[in-house]
Amino acid sequence: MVADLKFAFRQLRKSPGFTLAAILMLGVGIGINVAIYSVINSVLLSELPYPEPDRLVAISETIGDSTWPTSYPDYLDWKTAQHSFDDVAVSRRDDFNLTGNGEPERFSGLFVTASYFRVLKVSPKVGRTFFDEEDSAPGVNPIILSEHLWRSRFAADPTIVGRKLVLNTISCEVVGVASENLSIIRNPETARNSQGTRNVDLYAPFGFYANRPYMHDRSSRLGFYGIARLKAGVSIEQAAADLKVIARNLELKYPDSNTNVGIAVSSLHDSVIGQYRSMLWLLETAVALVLLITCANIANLLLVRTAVRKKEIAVRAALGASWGRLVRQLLTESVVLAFLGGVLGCLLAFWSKDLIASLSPHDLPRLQEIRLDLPVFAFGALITLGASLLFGLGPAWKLSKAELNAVSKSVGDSHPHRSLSALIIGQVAFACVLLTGAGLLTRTFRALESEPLGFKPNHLLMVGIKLPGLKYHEPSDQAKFYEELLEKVERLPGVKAAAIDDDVPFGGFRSQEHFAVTGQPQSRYGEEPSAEAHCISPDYFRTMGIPPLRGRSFRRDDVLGKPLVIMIDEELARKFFPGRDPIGQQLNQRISETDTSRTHYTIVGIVPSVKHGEVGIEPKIPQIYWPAAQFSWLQTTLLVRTEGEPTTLLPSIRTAIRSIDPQLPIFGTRTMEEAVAASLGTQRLSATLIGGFSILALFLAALGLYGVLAYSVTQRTREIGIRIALGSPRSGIYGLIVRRAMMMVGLGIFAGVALAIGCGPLIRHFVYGVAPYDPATIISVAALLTAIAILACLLPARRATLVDPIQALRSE
Amino acid sequence: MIKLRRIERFYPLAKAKFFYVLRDINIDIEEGEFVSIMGPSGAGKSSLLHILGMHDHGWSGEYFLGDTAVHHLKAKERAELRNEQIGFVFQQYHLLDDLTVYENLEIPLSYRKVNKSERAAVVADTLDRFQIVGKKDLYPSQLSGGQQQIVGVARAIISNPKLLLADEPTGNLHSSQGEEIMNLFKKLNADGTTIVQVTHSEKNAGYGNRIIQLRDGWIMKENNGC
Repeated sequence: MVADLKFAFRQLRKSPGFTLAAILMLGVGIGINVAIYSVINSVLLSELPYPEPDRLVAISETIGDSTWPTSYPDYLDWKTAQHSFDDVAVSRRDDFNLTGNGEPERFSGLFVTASYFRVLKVSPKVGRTFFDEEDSAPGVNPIILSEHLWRSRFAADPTIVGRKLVLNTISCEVVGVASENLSIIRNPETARNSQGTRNVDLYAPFGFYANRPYMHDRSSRLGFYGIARLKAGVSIEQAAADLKVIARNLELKYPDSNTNVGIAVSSLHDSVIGQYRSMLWLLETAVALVLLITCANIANLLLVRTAVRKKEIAVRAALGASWGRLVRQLLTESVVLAFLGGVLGCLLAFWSKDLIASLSPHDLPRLQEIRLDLPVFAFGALITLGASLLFGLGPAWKLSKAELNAVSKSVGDSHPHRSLSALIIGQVAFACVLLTGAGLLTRTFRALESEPLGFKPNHLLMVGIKLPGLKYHEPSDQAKFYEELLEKVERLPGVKAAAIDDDVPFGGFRSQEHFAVTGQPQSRYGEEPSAEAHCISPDYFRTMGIPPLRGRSFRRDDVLGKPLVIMIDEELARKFFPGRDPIGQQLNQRISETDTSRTHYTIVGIVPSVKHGEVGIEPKIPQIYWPAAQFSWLQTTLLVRTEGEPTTLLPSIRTAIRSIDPQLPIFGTRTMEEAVAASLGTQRLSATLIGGFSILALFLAALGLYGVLAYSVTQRTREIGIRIALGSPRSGIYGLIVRRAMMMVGLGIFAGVALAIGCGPLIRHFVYGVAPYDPATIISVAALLTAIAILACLLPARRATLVDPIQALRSE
Repeated sequence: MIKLRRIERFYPLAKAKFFYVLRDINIDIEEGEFVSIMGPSGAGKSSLLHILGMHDHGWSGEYFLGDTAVHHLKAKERAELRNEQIGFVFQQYHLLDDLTVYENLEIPLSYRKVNKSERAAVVADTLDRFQIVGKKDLYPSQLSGGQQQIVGVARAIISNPKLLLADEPTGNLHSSQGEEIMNLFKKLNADGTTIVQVTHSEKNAGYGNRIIQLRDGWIMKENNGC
């Protein structure tokens, strides 16, 4: 074996060009596979970093087919009635304004029950977790900082416990620092923090909320999401059956709020990363195809070298080398080559770690966990070995059959080997599949990008504001603040219009409200239709650039105490008022479980349907707008339409806010165009990466074709010489080479198109606005491959036409 | 030692016709003989040598090597027998370019699973016997043609074969170098090695004790050499 290794290194050193090219190709092929696998391993395959992670589950409620958060009273009932869990916990996202300590700052917060830490079995890094009694009583207003906040904002102060911080104008006491791995579990509604990620900055107990009505209202499913730890030996299915009984009992006991409400339980791991699974596997498939093309290319190069090495192998066989021994020696060379490529690949993957993290969507959970560890290197080693067998076995097999008798009499093949042609066909086919995928994803991205939003996203700035509940407890206080704010901002030079919306456009989460049409039969609770809900100020539509279709917009006198009014979008009008004029009609809502009467709102205007969330992906949900002045809202987005570059107005907007309330932080400042672009992050990533991989595949396939044709011309020098000597025109020689190449490429494209069409169902849910079998994309890919193939043939074909017949014949 | 009966070798042509390379070959070679096969180009000399060397399996007839009926053996068994009993010297030397003289000599032993220390001892003896100790670290390209063929012969006999087959062993050498190789063969034969060589040279054939003349695949005549 040592002798084989020594000889293998000697062989590689002997052909530095081949060795370098092969190592580079393998390095890139293995490197991108290792890099993508490192993401898959950290995000998808690694267990959650908690003790016995397979026992952790996520719990939510279901109404009809859709998943909902639960209510706090429902959670308390599950906790008491269940038999399947060691413990159950619930969390609710809310954000905090930190004041009194330099610049006011806003943090992403999570309210959790004390059991939250017990369920996950995590100990605090510093201090303590919450006590059970803090679920219902505020006590010292304890808070727990996340490790990254403790490090970034408080310089990892070891004496942080006991420090008083003013959050939402309440004096709170830091009681602990949570370990970093706690931030992986996020509430589905957790907002982006100042780093743009959805990681939690700090934790608070529900005692803060003890007096809030929704803590006691069973029908208020306001963002409470459950997690639990299964008892040892209990399966998810058993737990689901247990919860089903509990849901049924709650339905019987509280028909007004719980009719048709089920309880869904799923693996916590799946709930954290489930939505990214298919995208990551799609990327892995793409890079695996690139590696296959790389292997085919190297196999091609090795096959070309077989002609040179036939004599050596035949002599070895004549000297007594068994077939197995020869294959072992040749495979050793492939393994050495692959090993060097694998080392380069792992280095490339290591160096590209930060690039991958920066390219990944910021929403991707466990992003900070991406690392190249032992399992990733083991994967690297495995694909290196697999690659070496893949590209080495064929040529080794072929070469090991070399016989001295035949070698000494051979005059060279007149055509490229069949195996070379097969490899080229395979390369072209795989490149065709990748290019088709990239084409479809790019067209999807373009379709999403150019999809009409229903408003004008340019020159529009968004600024997040969260009013502290204690200071702005009364709706009239909130209304006064917003009114003063809008007045000041509208007066700023460069501002065309300003408005507020309680939602964060393209923030990744949209609030929905159930409603009923007054005068029509009422659906049972839970079966009522729902609509995307927005509380807006009167100038909202002018600011957003949404032209009202009918009726009127909100006025400054649509305030509390005046008739309750709403505006609806054309989708709601079409769906619920077919053939009728909705203006003047009413929608109604039941405000709470205990309140059996319904509040009615008169429709005063109809506007076009507008995209507020992810572009293209969501099913069409009707939209309802309420006048903000008739409701109570603490968190809002200030929307400012500007004449010039929106961000230049940020300092003056900040000053305007501070002049009203110096303790208010602003957050989430970005232009609407940035928000829309960010909402397409996943699609952009898939299109960019797969596009990049397919270009690499195209380049490799072209290189392979070039190599094989160049070899073929060398092998056929005598034949070409005879043809020229017999009077063949140069164009005939061109045709000879190009025809053969085009036959291989044509077969490759045919196989590739068939494969791409076969993969259609797999890619169906990644595409939007384009069919998975889009003929235009397939034709473009075929044309591109043909054009590149023609370019790859030109040089070898030209070389063939320059063959000197006398020289060629003499050399034989 | 060698008994060939009705050996035929042919290649199929179009329309169910065949091109015969060897026809009805019947030869007996005793142990310790030095036989030369002669004939014009295309007579079938090398084909016969490759059949004797068991490199070629596409023939018909009977071939006995000692008591072993080669024609009944499977490919793997033939390879084992060849490794055990036959050494080969080629006209083009066929040394492995990327191996040193030492490594070229070592390689047949490694293929026969001789352990490393024993290999070292045998190679050292052979280098000494052929007086090429000073060349052991050189590559074939650094040797003259004659020196390369000496290494080729040394490599052929290093595993102590009973039968040495040589295909035009001096074909690429100057006459003085050729003489040196033929004297080497003569000495090996005197030491007990049976030798069968293919040659065009009457002079080289004279070093042996029997000549077999081939023409168009047929044995034309056999006669004793010197």
